Amino acid sequence: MFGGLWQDLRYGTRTLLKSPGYTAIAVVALALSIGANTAIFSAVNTLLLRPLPLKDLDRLVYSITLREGFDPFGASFLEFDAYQQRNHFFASIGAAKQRSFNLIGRGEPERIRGASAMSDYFTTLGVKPLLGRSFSGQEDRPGGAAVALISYGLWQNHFGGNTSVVGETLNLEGRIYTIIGVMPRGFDLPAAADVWVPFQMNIGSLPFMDRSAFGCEIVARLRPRITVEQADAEAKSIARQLEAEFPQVRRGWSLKLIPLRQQLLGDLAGRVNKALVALMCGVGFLLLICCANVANLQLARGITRTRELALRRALGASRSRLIRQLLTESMLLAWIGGVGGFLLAHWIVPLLAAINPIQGISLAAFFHDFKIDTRVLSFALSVTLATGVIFGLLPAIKGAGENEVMPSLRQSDQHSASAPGHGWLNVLIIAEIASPPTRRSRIQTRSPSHDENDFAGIEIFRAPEADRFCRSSPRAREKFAGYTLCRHDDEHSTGARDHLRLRL
Amino acid sequence: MNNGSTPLIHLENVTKVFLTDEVETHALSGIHLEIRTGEYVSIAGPSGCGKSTLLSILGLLDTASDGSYCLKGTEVANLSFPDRARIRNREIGFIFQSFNLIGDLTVYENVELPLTYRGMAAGERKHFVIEALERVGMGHRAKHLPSQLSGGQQQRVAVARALAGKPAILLADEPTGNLDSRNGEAVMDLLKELHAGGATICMVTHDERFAQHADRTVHLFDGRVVEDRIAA
Ligand SMILES: Nc1ncnc2c1ncn2[C@@H]1O[C@H](COP(=O)(O)OP(=O)(O)OP(=O)(O)O)[C@@H](O)[C@H]1O
Ligand SMILES: [Mg+2]
Repeated sequence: MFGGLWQDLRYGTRTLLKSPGYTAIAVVALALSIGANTAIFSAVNTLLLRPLPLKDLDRLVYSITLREGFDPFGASFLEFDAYQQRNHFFASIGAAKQRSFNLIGRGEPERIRGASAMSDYFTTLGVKPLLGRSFSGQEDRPGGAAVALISYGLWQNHFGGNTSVVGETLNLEGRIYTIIGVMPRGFDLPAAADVWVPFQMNIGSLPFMDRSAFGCEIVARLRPRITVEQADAEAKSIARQLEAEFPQVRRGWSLKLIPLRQQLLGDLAGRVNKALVALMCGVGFLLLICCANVANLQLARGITRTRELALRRALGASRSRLIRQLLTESMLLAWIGGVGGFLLAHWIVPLLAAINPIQGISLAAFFHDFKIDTRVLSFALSVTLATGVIFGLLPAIKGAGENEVMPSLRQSDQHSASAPGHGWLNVLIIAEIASPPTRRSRIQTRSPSHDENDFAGIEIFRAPEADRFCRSSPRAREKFAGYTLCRHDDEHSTGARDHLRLRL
Repeated sequence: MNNGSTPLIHLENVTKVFLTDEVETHALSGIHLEIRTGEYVSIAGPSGCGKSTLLSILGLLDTASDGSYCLKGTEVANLSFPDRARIRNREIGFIFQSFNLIGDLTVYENVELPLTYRGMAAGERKHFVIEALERVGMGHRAKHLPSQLSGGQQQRVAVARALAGKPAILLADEPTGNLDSRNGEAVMDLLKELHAGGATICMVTHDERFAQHADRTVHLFDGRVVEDRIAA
């Protein structure tokens, strides 16, 4: 099975090297489109696919408050309370409030970002501490213990990543907190928090002013099979109830639930997703066009190689064997293009990261880290393989010829210069044949020199032309007793030329 | 002619009709032909009488429109295309008028090609290739490309390629057609030598002188065998 593969590869390499112009064009086209696909996919991967330290991110929603003429707001505890009492579609709900703290007693006093978070906030997000544990219900009550969770970054920077950190203390704003856990690497919700303390408040007993003040962040996990639209519709009806109940503060206010990912991407309108899909489709289409073009080039070359391919059949290669050989050549081309594309992507991706339009500040370790990981690598690999098959299969099947060998052998005598009809593909094929000027045939007769009286010379650049000339023109056959094809290198011309000697 | 045993090739009432633009060309009409192992048959006749067509059918490059063709006692008309490729590869060695070496492959690789398609291991291939090249006196040119050889040398390489796989029969279509007379004779001498060594050869030639090398001449006219003469 793989016996001839090495030979096919070797021969394929030689074929590619033989027409460096063609190979270069094909490789560049493939590299550009595979590179573009890989780069865009790395963005899709970073923003939409890569796993985050949150469980089932796509089941999580984020609540925003809308008022005509204003930018969307965060949420207030009024809504949190209303959701908790009235919604039917949330499996769980949690809230947190951004804060900042003065961290004292660990070198220079430092202002760090943090949050007070309900214990439900973490369970709803599905995030578990890397080390230690999260807040218990007990700790989250008014008068609960002064405990704190710290971020991975803070742990590394201030505690040297020491695992004995759990149980140590932290002086925040002059109050001593006991560290009970370290959150996983990169987790920093809400915003870019480095430390979390329990919320420890009874919402019901808060003064109304505090309850209706904005500034809290609500996340909720949808029940199974509930869609964002369903939950959003219910949120809207809850907003109307609130409007009726508290007209003095809620008139003209509405609620909207958006997927949490959208919020994290700073994309309240939901454009990023669509833009990425459109971009992916765009570069995918580019790749298809490229495949079609390379397929055409391959077809054109298959035609110029009809004789060689028919000959291989005559020597006992089955059609499938030839298809395999031609496909190997295409695959080789695809691989070179793929490697080129991969290198190109390697170079583009940092540029993409630099112009990353994502405004969200949370989970920056994930959303701002455009890189080529194993998923991108396997994507590039599969695209390369698929590309090879897409542009190689048809030319391979065509190139392998009819089942019967003789027609191809005969046909090859007529081909070489004109391509048979492939409809609109013809233009490209002709372009391919015509473009490198050295490959154009030029027939020029030479007057017989004194020492070769019985020869008329004809110079031709390509052997098939010469062959065709002699075989297809009955007049040539009548006029000349025979012909000899030889090849010599001419320093003045661009390469080897075939030299046809006709015996008079 | 040997008698008794099954002939290597047995054609009975073979016809070949080409259909082009609703014109029927009867290239072969009712050919009867037997070729036995060890024979050297030359096929002669005017241009267009069907010599090449006959050879392409013998070589399984084309299928007869009608009639029966038994190769080594097996009817080949009903074989699948992959089977035909396999038989072509094992039993038939072709020599073409225009050499038909593959320009991108070295002499060695050209000769090796049919053996590769046979699935022969590399070591064994090497042995066969070198033996064949030595036989045609081209062993010293193994690394050359066809374009670096003279026409006569190219045809000798083509002969080596045809015989490398030790086929049951060598089919040659005007093997000297593209060669000057000196080189033509050299190739003919080579074929004669191979025949003396036991090879079965069926050759198409225009050249009366070369036809006499064979020990049997079949004359075709208008797609029929008009004479089948054994040399004195
Ligand atoms: N593919 C084809 N389609 C139509 N007609 C064909 C085809 N191949 C051969 N013929 C016709 O069949 C007849 C026999 O052709 P063939 O090539 O066998 O002749 P030949 O004896 O080899 O001639 P030459 O000595 O000139 O090579 C010719 O009339 C030719 O035109
Ligand atoms: Mg002929």
